[in-house]
Amino acid sequence: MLTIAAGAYIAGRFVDWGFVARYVASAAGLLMLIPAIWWGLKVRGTS
Amino acid sequence: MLGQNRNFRRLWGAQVVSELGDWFYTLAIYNLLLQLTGRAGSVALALVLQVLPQTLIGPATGVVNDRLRRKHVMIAADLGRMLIVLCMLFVRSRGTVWLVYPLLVAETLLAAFFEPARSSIIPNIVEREDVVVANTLSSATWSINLMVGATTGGVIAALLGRDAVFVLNAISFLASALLVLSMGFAEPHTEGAHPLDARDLVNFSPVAAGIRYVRSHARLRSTLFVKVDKLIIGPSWVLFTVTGQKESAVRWYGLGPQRGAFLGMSLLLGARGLGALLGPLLSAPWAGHWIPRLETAIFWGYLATAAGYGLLGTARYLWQACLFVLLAHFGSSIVWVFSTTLLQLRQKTGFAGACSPPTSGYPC
Repeated sequence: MLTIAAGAYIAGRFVDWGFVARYVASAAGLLMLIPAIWWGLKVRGTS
Repeated sequence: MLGQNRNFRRLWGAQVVSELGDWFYTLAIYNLLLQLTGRAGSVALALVLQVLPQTLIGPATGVVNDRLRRKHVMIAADLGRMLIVLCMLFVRSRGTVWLVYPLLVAETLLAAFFEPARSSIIPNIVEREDVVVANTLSSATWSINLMVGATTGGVIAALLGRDAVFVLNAISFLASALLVLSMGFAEPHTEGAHPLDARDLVNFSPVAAGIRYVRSHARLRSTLFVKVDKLIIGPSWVLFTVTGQKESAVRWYGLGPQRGAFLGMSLLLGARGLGALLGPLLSAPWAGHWIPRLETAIFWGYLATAAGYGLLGTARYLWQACLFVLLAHFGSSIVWVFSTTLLQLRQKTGFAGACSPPTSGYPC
């Protein structure tokens, strides 16, 4: 719940600062690569 | 089960009508806020007020549902929410927009009492061997309601206007209350139950015990970290509302800009619901309960989420945006469902509730 609230708040601030919503979405998508890489390395390390 | 069990049929019916109404209402609230304030931050604040109180009220809802008749709790929650939703009709201008926030908090708190009561009475009304089927049906119903509710909510709002959506949601709560009222079943937990004590309502010790347990188990910590994917769920509500208003608004002959914005937003949310439904549905048969496959699927789920949202910035048409959103939430729902399964496979049963992040109305 905290992550949902934090994510919504940050996105809202960026849009209000003038960033285009679609580009904020793209940035959020790229940020998802961080946990993807972390998880991939972790799974590879334990297998 | 729906054909044979009258009580479950009515409970399921109550779930369908109230959840469909909820999705209509959520769309209407966010659209209203953006229209009246022009600020995405107001939508974000609404979302924060919808999710944070549920976390804080958790211990109280458990105690209330363990001490009082759950049927009464559900009816009271439904009737309270009906009145709250009708009060939203008073929000007509920038001067009255503040009213949305306390009403949202009140509605959220009542929903937090309703949901545990609904899921807790399932074992009271179905045979022991049917509990899993009943829970699965309830869970699938939630996903389908998201898809259908988000899409049809936009269509109804486009045709009839936002006020009609609020009235429909209020009617859905009344219908839910009447369905629950018509149910007849025993509630043995109330026999010999201790009276409600104010101290029990703020007892966070089970949550603290869960945190201690997770801290002492490294594998659980890493699995819990996977839940970071929820960082994408919060922004999606805000961004879909804003893009619906601007880039993805539907332009149709005779359709005003506000209603076109509503429809655009609802189509994006419908795509999200479809993705959330298809993700686990198509991948679960392959992964099953085999941990290496669950872990691999989570990795690909993350990549699909990143690709979907990453490509959203390049979408020039609404159908493209819907496709990318579908892909993103196809992946996100896999991460959500499979990480929950991993958590359940790796933890002791006694800590299942304390370790599982509350999901309520916002999974995937």
